Amino acid sequence: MEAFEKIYKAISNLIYNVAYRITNNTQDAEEATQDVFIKIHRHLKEFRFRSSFKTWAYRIAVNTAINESRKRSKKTGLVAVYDDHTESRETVNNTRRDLEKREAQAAISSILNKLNCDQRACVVLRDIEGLSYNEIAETLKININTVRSRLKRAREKFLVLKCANSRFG
Amino acid sequence: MDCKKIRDLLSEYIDSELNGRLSVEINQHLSSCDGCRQIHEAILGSSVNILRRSERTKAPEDLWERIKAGLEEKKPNRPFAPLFIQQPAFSLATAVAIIIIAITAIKLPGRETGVVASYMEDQIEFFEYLANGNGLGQEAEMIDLGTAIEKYLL
Repeated sequence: MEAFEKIYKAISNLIYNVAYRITNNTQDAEEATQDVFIKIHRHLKEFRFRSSFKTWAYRIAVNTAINESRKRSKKTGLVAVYDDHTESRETVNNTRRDLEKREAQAAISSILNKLNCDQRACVVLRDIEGLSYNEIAETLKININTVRSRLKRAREKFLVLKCANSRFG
Repeated sequence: MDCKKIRDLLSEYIDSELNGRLSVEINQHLSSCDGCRQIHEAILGSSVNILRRSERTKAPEDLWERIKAGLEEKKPNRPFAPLFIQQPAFSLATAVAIIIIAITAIKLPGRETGVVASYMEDQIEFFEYLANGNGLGQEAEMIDLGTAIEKYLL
């Protein structure tokens, strides 16, 4: 258990961040993270070093978070709205720094909320986690051209929405 | 390259996923074409820069305790095998018994009988050898995966 705690400490923030960005809120992210570590613990002996440990962990995290997210939308019939992580975890005060932080968080949430789960996974792994197209393809077990087109479509969508907002908003 | 082709490749250009020659070509085009430059900046401004500057969220402090509790709760449930198979002595005895039953119960046709029977006898001998405390225990202890990282993970 001690060795596993070391693994947890090394990658928990990474897993939680991915889970939080893919699911819509802290509660789902916590459940997904918990689930991810139970899966990692259960399947650690099956890990054969064919891919990097990080890629393997990312794969479990993304799949678990997508499932969690789908489960919730199925249950509620709605896509959950991102909650404000900073507000729920920290004392709210109105310093300028906090305000900026909350605004940035809201902007990220609103961007990711416009994507379906598959596009969101690619965007999170690329723009938040900084993975290359090859690494994303390996993590999600999809073709690199699919990664390319999902990212392109997602960015086109943001662009169209931005244009529409500046024209009508 | 025309503007349409350049705009098609902007997403990959932003991600530094193009080869050097193409990347230089797009770079040069952007410095001379206002339309493409505006689209490039709009892509960066509408999502990429916002996401890339995002602060990382941290796992809650008490999450490890919850995971640990979850793992300890699940520990006693060994996967799938019936209880008697989980005990090494029983599993060997069971294997030997199954092989003996298989030999006595199955009637094999003429010529093949000799080959299969002798194979089965070998297997019985082997399992009896193991059941007498030879082999497995020592071998299992000797298995060493050999790398520090494997020791760390497993």
